[in-house]
Amino acid sequence: MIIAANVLIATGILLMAVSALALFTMPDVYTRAHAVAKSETIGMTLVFLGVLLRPEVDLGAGGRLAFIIVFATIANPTAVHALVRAAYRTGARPRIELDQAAADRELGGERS
Amino acid sequence: MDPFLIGALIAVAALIGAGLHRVWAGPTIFDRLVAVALVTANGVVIIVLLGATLERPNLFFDIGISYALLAFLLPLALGRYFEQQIRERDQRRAGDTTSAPKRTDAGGGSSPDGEVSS
Repeated sequence: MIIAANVLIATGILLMAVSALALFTMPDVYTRAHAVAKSETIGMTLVFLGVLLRPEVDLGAGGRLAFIIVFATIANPTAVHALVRAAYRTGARPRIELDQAAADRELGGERS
Repeated sequence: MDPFLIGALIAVAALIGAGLHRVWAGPTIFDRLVAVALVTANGVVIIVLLGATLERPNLFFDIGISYALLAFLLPLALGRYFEQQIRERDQRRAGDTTSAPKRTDAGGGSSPDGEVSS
């Protein structure tokens, strides 16, 4: 049981690390919000499920933790969605970088 | 005090530091707010892990519930506030460009601001 709990916690922290890494590498607000909304939410949920399986957590604490799981799963994507909607309405546009050499290569391959 | 849980706490604290870098360096206000959403989500995880590590889960999970509620309201309120602010600023700029020719007629001088921002 405790091994399963530790595996769940480690997997969740790995997903949260992916989400935090995306804040460094992604180019604009939409891609960053994508990482925060999806990867962070499932990482949090996995960590909470792992803590729920630990022997330190009894029944009453488990009920509170179940509420945190349900609430965080609903609330985190909702908050990020509200932020992205506000960003879109105020005129933020996605940053698109065209790879001109690759586009030419594809077009040339189709022509020949 | 399970050493695995202490290692997990240190790892999540490092992730909070990574999120704070984006709060510091984000080019727009919404980049910063998205990073703040990640930092607060990691804060809830840290509180829950602390409750398991210190073996007082009832106390810490109550704190985690209230912190999760507050962390849900923060990006909603701030996102709506900054959306309104930026829209009002844009409307003010648009109003300046439309009212600029009237001012030039009255004052008799040219207004470079209206031409630039149109």
